[in-house]
Amino acid sequence: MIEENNTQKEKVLSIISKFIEVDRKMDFNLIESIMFVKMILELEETFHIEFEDEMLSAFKFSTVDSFIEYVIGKLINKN
Amino acid sequence: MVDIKPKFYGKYDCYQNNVLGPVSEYWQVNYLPVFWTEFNFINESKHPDTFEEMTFGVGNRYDRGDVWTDICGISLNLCRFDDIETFKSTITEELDKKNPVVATMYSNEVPWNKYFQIRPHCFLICDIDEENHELICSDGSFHSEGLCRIDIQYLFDKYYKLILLSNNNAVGKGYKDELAYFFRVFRNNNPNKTEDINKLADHILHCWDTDDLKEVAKIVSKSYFLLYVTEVCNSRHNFMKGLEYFNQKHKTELFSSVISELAEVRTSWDSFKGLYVKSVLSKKKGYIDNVVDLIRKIAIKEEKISQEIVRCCTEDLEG
Repeated sequence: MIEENNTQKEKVLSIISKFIEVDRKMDFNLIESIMFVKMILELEETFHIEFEDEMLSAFKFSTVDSFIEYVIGKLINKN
Repeated sequence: MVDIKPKFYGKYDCYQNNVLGPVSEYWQVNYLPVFWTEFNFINESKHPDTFEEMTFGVGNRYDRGDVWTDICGISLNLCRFDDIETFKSTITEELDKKNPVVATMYSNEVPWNKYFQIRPHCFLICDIDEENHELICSDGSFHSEGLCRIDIQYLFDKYYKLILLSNNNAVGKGYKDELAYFFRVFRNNNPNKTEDINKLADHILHCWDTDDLKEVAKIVSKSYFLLYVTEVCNSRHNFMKGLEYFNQKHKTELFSSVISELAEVRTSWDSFKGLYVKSVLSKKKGYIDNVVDLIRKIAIKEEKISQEIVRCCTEDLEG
């Protein structure tokens, strides 16, 4: 289970890093909104998940880590 | 020379980024009261059929200059000269007094601009290079990496106004006077704000049916529509900062509940922007329906916040 989670985390991280240079403690609000949504669309398509509408704001995530936690939470709920 | 370095503030428009922020910091004045003008919304669109035909935003905040003068002590003098000698000598005189000068022109004519939209723009003149007939300027919005240069004749041909600034060292107002001042500024907001926000929802629904969605997706990164939404979102953030300033300065909790409501509304505007981009990129009607629902909820939330501000101010001023 832990191993599976780590693999998923790595996958999520590799998608995020296509859109931004990942410093995991960075302020997520700095990411431009189009880039942010493009990244979400790719995550949704790859993992067959859907972000809630209100989560389409970078204000909801203070750091990259909190964003990854949200995606992992979605994946756990899906399974 | 005026010692101001360009800086990018993130959530500011060009006037806030290039004038209010750096000039206030240069004269060591707190500029946050100017953000009291930010909780506005004006929709000027008339029957748009495309997203790019829509014109909406926080509106022309003419009174922010008044707040900067009355509360922060920085006065502004707008001027225009028809001969280059007076233009140049005025700038030189101001710089000799260590006063920065604001130049205004269209963004597409600014030599160092690498962005798309054509709109009014402003930056600071900080120094003059007589030998090369150039002005040395600070424009943190378009070029935060360092100072820029512009040919004097070119600026004279393209500019539409200079703004001369001076620091009058404002005398601080007491709690009641400053609250009354804030309330007066707040009441200058568009009285039809809620209707205007709801009109935006109607226009979005209509344009989804009439606009060319492939084209909308293609130009999304240089979209004026998105630029206007971003400005509104940033204005809610800045208004919050203006109220936090009031609370901190006067050691009061007066606006505390309003501030947390505002944080939510700011996030909703940002979600609205994200959801709009998502609907355009995926071209799914379901998402645009959610965009419209969200904007109607925002209109209700903003109306409640406005009522709460009126209640807080009225009770406190009459009490």
